[in-house]
Amino acid sequence: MKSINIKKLYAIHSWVGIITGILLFVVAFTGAVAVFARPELKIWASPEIRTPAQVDPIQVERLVHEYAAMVPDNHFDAITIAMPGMRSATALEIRYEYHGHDHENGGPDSVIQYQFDPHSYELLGEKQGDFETLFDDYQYDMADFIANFHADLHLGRPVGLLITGLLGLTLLASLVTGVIIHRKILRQLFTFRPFKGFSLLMNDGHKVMGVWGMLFHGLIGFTGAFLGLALVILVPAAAYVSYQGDMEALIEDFTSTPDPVIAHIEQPTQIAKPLQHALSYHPDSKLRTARILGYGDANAVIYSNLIGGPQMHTLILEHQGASGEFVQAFGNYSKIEGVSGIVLDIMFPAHFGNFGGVLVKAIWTLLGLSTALLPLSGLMLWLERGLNASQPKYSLQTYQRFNRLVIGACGGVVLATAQLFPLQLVLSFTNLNLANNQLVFGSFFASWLLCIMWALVRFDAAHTVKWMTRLTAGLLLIVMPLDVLLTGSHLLNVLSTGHYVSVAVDWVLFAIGGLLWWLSLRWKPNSAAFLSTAETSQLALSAQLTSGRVVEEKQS
Amino acid sequence: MIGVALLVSLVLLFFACRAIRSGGAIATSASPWLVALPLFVGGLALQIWATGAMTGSFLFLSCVSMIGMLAAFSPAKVK
Repeated sequence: MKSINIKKLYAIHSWVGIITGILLFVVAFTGAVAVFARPELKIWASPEIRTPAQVDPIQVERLVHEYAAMVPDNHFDAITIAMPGMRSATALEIRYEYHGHDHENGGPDSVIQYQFDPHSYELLGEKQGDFETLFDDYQYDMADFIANFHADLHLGRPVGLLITGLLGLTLLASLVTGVIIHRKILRQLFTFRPFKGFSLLMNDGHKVMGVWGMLFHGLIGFTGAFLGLALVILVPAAAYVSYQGDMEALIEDFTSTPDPVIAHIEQPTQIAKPLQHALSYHPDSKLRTARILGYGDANAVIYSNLIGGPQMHTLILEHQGASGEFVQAFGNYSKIEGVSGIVLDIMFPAHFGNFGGVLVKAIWTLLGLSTALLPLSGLMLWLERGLNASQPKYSLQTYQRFNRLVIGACGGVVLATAQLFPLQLVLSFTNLNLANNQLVFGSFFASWLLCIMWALVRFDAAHTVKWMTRLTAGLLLIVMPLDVLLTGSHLLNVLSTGHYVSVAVDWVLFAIGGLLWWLSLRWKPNSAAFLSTAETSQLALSAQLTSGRVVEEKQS
Repeated sequence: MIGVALLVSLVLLFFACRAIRSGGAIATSASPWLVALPLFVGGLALQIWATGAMTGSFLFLSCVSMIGMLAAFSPAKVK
């Protein structure tokens, strides 16, 4: 390729990175944490489900029948059973749904939800409302907060989804331009020189993460763009073209769980047998929800939703309601023939790595962190090249100011995420009755903003990075002792408490905290972008003196 | 079962990536590749055995991405 085209592509690569780099870091970093949000961090944050519960299908069947007798007859359009600790449910939830049947005239939906203790099956709470208001008073914990922040930055639909979707596209654009302009891919595949200066560390790190993680970054960019833009652009556009704007009709046509044809012959619905089959379907699969359609009818159907296991996509098991017999297993989009159905089915698990168990999640988190570090190292590299150029495009102060903004925004989001862990322990395991949502949202955004201000006001960037890292490390290191203090749960009594997930989370956070502290001790960037104000003035003075001497020599 | 198979294949892939690393680049002579090839094939075979052809191949590519990165970051003499 002509060098002029390479230069143009390099300019595109740089400017896309400069404009979107900080936001891309924020979304990718929170995505790496969000991989473990559900169920691991959810379990860690919720005292009710820290001890694993073996839900008994016979008890579930008893509860469904018992409470079905108490709800109005029109609330059997669907009955959903949500397993505790699988997504956002911290209890066993049974929902009786009325779907209105009069949507065209604005007919209301109605849901009656019962929550049960997954160990004793005692009723914990009851709620009634439509699908939108039922979760109005939902109390966010840090797991929900991080997962939703990654999805739409808490800006809601369509703005938030649009931004994250477009970020996926810019990641793809950066990847393509990066691969074309980086012409020595194979020669520098293993080149990493961490001890030969800050500039080489950033340069090599950026290339190693970019080249080795190319497929993964591409996958994340593509699936992220799809998940972000599908609901706000793709589905409405397709519905407008082919379904007169009826999105529900389009989704119903594409998904593989049709409503049964009601026979109007009363027959009790078997629930325990299908649930038992779904729970033992594969040793690595987990039952997330079960949905009963046509409850009490001879043609009733039960769809069980399984995640994990050998297949990448979510698996749906279909059972006959009347006999409890297994009918078939399929993916959510298996109705669509060819490769499109498979691609749609694996879109979500491929983005979040929630298939094949916890080790796959760990791989996704590490690769996700490399996706986050890619724009950060790119920004540092741009600063280094700008500062070391024979004729820098901008002044030293401009580069330093931009560097401080990058440090504040990127380091700030890491610190803001870290402070959510000790805060969550205080919220979940003390009787202070603090306002959950306000504290989780407020502390995250306040600490992030404070970090940005700290970095911008404090003129010693190297010092800021060091102390921001130490503060983050400190916040992560205190999680385990705080957990022991508040809950009494630790490694030595894990066999009796059964808190395997939460103890593992504590130890992983402790290890990350230790690693960050160690890195802060070794942090000595040899770069003009990290000079303090005094050092910058000294540098400018010596540059003036040198140029003055040169002028004097020339005059003499 | 999937976890154990994945863990073993990650170890195999790490040794394979270390074997084909020659200084700061990919080895160009045949002998490191002859060492690495069975390790790569073993890693792929284990993942396909544990999770099936499609998931296994997909997982294999992701694992090579991560392990290759780790092998590049691990200390070695680079000119």
